[in-house]
Amino acid sequence: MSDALDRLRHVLRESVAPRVAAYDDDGVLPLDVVRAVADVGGFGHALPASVGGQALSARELGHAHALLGATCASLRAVLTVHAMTSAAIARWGSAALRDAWLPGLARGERTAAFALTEPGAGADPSALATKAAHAAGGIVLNGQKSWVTNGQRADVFLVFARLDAEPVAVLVARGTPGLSITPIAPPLGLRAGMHAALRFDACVVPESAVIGRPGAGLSWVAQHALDLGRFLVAWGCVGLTGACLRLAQDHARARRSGDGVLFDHALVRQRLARMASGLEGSRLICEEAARLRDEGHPHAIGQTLLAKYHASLAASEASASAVQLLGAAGTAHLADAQRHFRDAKIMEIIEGPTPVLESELAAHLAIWSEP
Amino acid sequence: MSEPSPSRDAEQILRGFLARHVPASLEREEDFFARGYVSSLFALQLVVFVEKQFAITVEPEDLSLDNFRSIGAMERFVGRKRGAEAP
Repeated sequence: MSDALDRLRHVLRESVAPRVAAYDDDGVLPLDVVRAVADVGGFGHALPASVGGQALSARELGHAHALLGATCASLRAVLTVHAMTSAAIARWGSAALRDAWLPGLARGERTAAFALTEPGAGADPSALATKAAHAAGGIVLNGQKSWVTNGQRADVFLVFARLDAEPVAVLVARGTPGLSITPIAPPLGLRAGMHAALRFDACVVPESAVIGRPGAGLSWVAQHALDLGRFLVAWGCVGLTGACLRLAQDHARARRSGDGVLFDHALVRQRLARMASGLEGSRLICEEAARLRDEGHPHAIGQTLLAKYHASLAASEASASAVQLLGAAGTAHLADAQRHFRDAKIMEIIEGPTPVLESELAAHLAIWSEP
Repeated sequence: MSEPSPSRDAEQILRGFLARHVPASLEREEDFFARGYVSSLFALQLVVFVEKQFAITVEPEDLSLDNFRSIGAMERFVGRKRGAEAP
């Protein structure tokens, strides 16, 4: 695979893996980890070479997020929201916005966050209540956002609001008067995701900060970003599932049990077989999603939805099995298995909770039958 | 000057893509979003589809459901884009 992946693999092995358990416990992603990933181009993986990005194919990008997901889900989540907002700017932003933001975002000198979720609008973004209105000097924002991953540090936020009832996406730079940022205490999983709540009190941004056009905020700008987010979460789950399988295998082969080892037990083998089959299913669905994305095929969007759905469920099951097989050692403070277990639960919630994905995936079954 | 035949081709291509999502009896001007046949995610799929199928580039200013809400709307949109992009 590409040099970019080799460089990322090296940073993860040398600078991230030895420390992830401790910093996850602290709930703070170390800045030198962020810098080390930025130095190997990690923040520009998905961006074109013309703005200083690494221009990875969808397949390479997926494999990068599998590596990340196997090591640190919080770091993967920070890179995911950064990639989502960067992609929205690259695809639907004006030339002026692209020039202003993308080179710094590609180098990781600046980082981005995605601000869609609100206290009253989670899985159903059409309920969003943040208000935008035309005002002197541009557009004035009032409202709140919650669960903004990387929100504690991001230099720029992609914010969704309603402008005369129409959904609109606007870029808001950190430090804009009227924007206040409050850290959220580390949650169950993705503890080092640097999550924040945002509040907009008469926060004015120029009209030129609109991405896409008013009306396009949800259907195109948010969905374009979320589609990439689902793709990256899915691949992250492939990495996480693989890490859980390795933990369980190593333990089952080494742990004495009666006259032999745990691996000799049929029920242990059954668990391992289920983990391996879940992993392979996730990997194949993700590879197909990557292939369709690299082709620009419209079915890539549905395949990505399926990939996120399958891979997050497989990760949940595999991480629960890893904790079960490792027993007390898997539940211990700083144990990798319990971190994966907590992170996997979040994977079933972010970028489309499992029940919402099921509803989407089933929608066309009302009309269509496989021939 | 050559008119309706490319347009009829476009209609057939669009109907082929839509077959998985809307009933075959769909009228040319029927709004499939308003009828609830498709979710909001489908709007993004339609953009990717028309870009690849008809070799056009959908610009930010084109992002209006009025360009995508029916077979007729998409046909007219593709026709305008091809006319504008033709050398």
